[in-house]
Amino acid sequence: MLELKGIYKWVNTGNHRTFLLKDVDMTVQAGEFISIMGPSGSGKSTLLNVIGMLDEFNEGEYIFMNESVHKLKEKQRSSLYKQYIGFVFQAYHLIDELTVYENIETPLIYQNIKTSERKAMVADILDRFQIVGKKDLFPTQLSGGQQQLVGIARALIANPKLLLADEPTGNLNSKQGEEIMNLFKQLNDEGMTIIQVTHSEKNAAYGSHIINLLDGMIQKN
Amino acid sequence: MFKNYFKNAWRTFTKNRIYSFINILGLTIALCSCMIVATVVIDDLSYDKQWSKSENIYRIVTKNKMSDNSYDRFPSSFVGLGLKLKADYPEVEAVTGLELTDERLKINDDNPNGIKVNVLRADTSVWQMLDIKVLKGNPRKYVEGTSNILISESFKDKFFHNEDPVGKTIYNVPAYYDKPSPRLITGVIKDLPSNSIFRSQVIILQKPRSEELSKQQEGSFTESYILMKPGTDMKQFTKKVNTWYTGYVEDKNPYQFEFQPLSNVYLHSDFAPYQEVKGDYKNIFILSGVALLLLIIACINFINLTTARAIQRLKETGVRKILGAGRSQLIAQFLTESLLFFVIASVLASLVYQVSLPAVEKFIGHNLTRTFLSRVQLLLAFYGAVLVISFLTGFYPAWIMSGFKPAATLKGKLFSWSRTGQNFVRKSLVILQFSFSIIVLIALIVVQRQVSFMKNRPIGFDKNDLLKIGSVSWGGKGQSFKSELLNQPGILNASITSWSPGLGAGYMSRAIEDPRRPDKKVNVWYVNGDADFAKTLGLQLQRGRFFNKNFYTDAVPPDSAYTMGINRSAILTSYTEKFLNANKLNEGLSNVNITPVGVVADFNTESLKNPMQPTIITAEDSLNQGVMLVRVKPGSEKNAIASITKLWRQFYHDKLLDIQWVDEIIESQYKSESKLQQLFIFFSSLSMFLAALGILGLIVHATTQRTKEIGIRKVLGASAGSIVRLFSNDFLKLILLAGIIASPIAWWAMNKWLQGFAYRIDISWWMFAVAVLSAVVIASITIGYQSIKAAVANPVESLRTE
Repeated sequence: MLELKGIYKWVNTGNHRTFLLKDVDMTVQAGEFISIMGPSGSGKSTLLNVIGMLDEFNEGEYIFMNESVHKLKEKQRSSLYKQYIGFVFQAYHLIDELTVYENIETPLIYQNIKTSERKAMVADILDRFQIVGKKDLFPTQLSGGQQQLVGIARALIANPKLLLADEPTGNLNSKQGEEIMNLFKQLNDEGMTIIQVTHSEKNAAYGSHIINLLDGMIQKN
Repeated sequence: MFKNYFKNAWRTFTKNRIYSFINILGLTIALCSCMIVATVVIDDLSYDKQWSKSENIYRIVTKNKMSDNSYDRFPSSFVGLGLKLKADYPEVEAVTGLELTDERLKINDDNPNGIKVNVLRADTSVWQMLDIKVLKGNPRKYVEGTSNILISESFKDKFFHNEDPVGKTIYNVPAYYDKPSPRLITGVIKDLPSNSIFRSQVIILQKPRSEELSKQQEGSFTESYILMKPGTDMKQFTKKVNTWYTGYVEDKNPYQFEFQPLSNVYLHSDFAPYQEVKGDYKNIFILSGVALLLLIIACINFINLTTARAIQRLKETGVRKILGAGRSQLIAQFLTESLLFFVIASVLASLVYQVSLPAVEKFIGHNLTRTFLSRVQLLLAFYGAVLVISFLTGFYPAWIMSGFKPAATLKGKLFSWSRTGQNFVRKSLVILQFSFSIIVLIALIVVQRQVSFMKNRPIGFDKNDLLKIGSVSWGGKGQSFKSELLNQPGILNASITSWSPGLGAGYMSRAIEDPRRPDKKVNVWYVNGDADFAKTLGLQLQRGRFFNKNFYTDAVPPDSAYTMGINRSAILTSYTEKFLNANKLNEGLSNVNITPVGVVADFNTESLKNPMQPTIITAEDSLNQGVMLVRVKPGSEKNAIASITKLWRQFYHDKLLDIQWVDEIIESQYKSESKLQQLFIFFSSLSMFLAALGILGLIVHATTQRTKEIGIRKVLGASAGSIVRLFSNDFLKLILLAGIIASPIAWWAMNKWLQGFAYRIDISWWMFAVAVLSAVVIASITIGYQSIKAAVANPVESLRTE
C-alpha cells in the first residue's frame, strides 16, 4: 500500500541541525495493523504526519498507492489523502461548534457529496457505532470514550483505505481504551489498514506488527 | 454547501457573544453613518437634475474684470440682456427671471406681520422652463392687472384646508408700499421638489419685464435663466455673446458673461452670497471623507478581532483541513462568516437609518427626496456595496486563518514569524484607526476654536443691544418716527441706513484702480446712513469729526446735486484711509468721489471669513428706503421691542415690522461653520467610540489568551499594577505613534481649511496635545477595566483551569 525509502526530516536551529526522522524505511501492505512505539520525542507523531501527508519531509521517497508523494503538488497531495486516509487523534479534535452528526458529516461536505447521499452515509455509520441517540449532542456533552468513537466514525465516513491513529486511547480510561482497541481490531479484521502510534505495550499487541522508533530512527529487532 | 457555511457561521456568531456584539455594533454604526452621509451627498448631487429640460437651462453670470486673471462674478445680469439674447439668438428658446425671496403673506389676521413664506418670483415664461404640475385652476392664463400667485399643495393644505383657494385674493405685508398688495391665487401646483434651488412654497408670477439693454452698461439686474435648444455648443455660444457684447457697449471695460448650467448652481455658487438655497461641494468631500474613515475604522475592528481570534480557532481550522477542506473552502467559510456580520449589521443600520432620517432632515433643513428606503435601486446598490466591502474586509482574516499548516495547528504551534507578521499588521491597523480618530478630533478642536474666535472677536462696533428694523420704505416719515422713538425710555440712538450687518460689505461698490497696483481694480464699498449712523453703531472716531447735520455737504438731501459729488463729506475707516492714501482730511478724492472729513477705527462690515474692505461712510438726510439700527440701553431690551412695535403701528399701520438683534444676525453668518462643528462633534465621538471598541475587543482577547501567563507572573510575584502596565503600555505606545502620524496630516488639512477665513486662529501645539491626550484617556479607560480584572484575578484559578 505504501512505502517509505530513506526518509529524512530535520529542523535547523541556528547552525545546528536537529533530525526528527533519520533514514526511515518502511513498507505497509494492505490489511496490516501496525503499531509505532517509542519514547516521547522519538518522532512517532512526525512519522505518522509524514505518512498522512500533513507534514513534509526533507529527503527520501514516499510512494502511496503507486503515486510518488514527494513529486506531487500540495493540491494533488491533499486530494490523495482526502480520498484514502482517515485520521484519529488523541485529543479527538472534534469541532466544538458542530453536533455529532455534523462532525461526522463534515468530510463528506468537503468532498462535495450530495445531501441525500450524505444523510444515508452518516445514518449508516451512526447506526453501526450505536450512537444514533447522540447525534444531536455537541462534543462537550459526551464522555471521552464517546467523543473518540465519534472521532473514529468521522475518520471512517469517507471510506478511507488507511486509518492513522495518534495515541487514540491516550486520553481515555482503560475500559474505554479497551473498547476502542477492540473496535480497531474489528475494523482491521474487516480489511482496513491501520497505523497507530501508542505508548502502551498492551495496545501495541492488538497490531500485527510493531515498529520501534528512537531518535527518529527505526530500531531493528 | 452554502447552507453549511452559513450554519457554521451562525454557530460561531452566537457562540462568541462579546466578539459578535463588538463587531455588529461597530459595523452598524459605521454603515449607518455611511448611509446617512451618502443620502446627504446624493441629495446634494441631485439638485435640479429632475427638470425635464435641466440640461439646457443656464443661469446668466456677469463677470467684471478686476485684473488680468481675476474676475468678480455676480449671479445676476441686466434684464435687457436676457431679452436681447432671446431676440437675437435663435438657439435661445426662452429667458426667465427667477428669483427666490421671502415674502410676508397675511392669511389670517392674527399677526400684523403675516407669515413668512419662501417665494419664487418668476415671469410667465417659467412655464417653458420648469416642469410645474398644475393641480387646480388654470394659472397658465395670466390674469392681468394684479399679481398672480401659485400656491403649492402643502401650502394649500396648511392654510386652505377645506376650501378651494383658486380665485381668492390674499395680501402681503408690504415693506415698501403703504398698502398691502393683492395676490390673486390662480392655481394650486404640486410642491416644487425640495432638491432644487427654486425650493419655495409659492410662486409669484409676473409679466416679463421689458428693458432695453443699455449701451452705457447700466440698468437693473435680475437673476436670469435661459433655455437653450438641445445640443447647443455652449462654449461657442458664450464666445459669440461676449464678442457681440464687447462691440455693443460703449463702456471701455465691458462685462463678460458666463452661462452656468442649472444643475451646477446649487453646489457652485460661492460667488453668490445672497443665494438662499446653496450647498458647498467641499462639504461633500469632507462628509464622504469622514464617513469613509468611520467605515475603515469599523472594518479594521473586524479584521483585527477576527485575526486575533484566529489563534483560538486554529484547532478547528486544522481539523477541517485534515478532514479534507481545501484552502478555498475554508476561505469561503470565513467569508460567509464576515458576510453574516455585514448582513446583520446592514439590516440593523437600515433600521437605525430609518429612525434617524427625520433628525437628518431637520439638520439639513429640508426634506430628502431620495433616501435608501424610498428608492429600491439605492437600497440594492447599498447592499451590493456591503457585499463588496464584506468580501474585502473578510478576505485578509480568511486568508490568514486558512493558511496555517494543519499538523502545526493541531499541536497549537504557530510559526513565530507568521505571528509577528500578523502582530505587525494588527498594530499598524490600530495605529491607522487612532490616527483617523485623532485627525477628526484635531479637526473638531480647530473648527471649534475658529468658530468661537469669529463669534467673539471684537469687530469694531458694539454688536450687543443693537436692533435692526428690516428694510422698508419710510414714506417720508422716517425721521419723525426716529425722533419719536428716541423719546421712548431705553432707546439710546437710532439711524436709518442703507447698510447693516448681514447685508454685505456696503450698499454699493465702485471698482477703482488699486492705488498699490494700477493694473488691478479693486472694489470700494459705500455705506450710506443718516448723520447718526456712526454714533448708533458705536464707531470709534480717530481723527477729524463725525457727521453734522448742519453741514450741507454732510447729510445731503436725496436727489441733490451733491448726492454723488466730490464735495460730499465722508468718513473713512482707518484701513481705507491708508488704502486710499487719504492723508489730508477735507480734501476731495477724485477716484472715490468724496471728501473725507473723519476717520474711524476699522470695523468689519462682513463676516470674518472675508477680509477688511475699503469702506466709505456717507450720510444722507432723509433716506427713503433702508433699515433702521436702534441702540438699546442694556437691560431694557424687552421694553424697547414693545415700544418700537407700538410706535410702529401708529406710524405704519400695514407695514412689515421685522425686528432682529444684530448679534444674532452676526452669529448666523457662521451658521455653516457651526453646522460643520456639530458634524465634527458627532463624527469624532463616533470615530473615537469605534476605535475604543476595537481595542476593547483586542484587550478582551489578549487577557483571555494570556490568562495563564498572568497567573504565572503573579505566582512569581508580579503586582497587579505591573500586569495592568503590561497590557496598557502596548496600546498606549500605539496611540502616541498614531498621534505623531495624525498631527502633520491634521495640521495640513486644517491649515488649508483655515485659508478660507480672512481672520483665523493660529493652529497651536496644545490642540494636538489635547487630541492625543483625549485618545490616550479614552483608550486607558477602555483597557483599564479589562486589564485590572485580569490582573486581580486569583492566579490559582487560571493555572488550575489550564
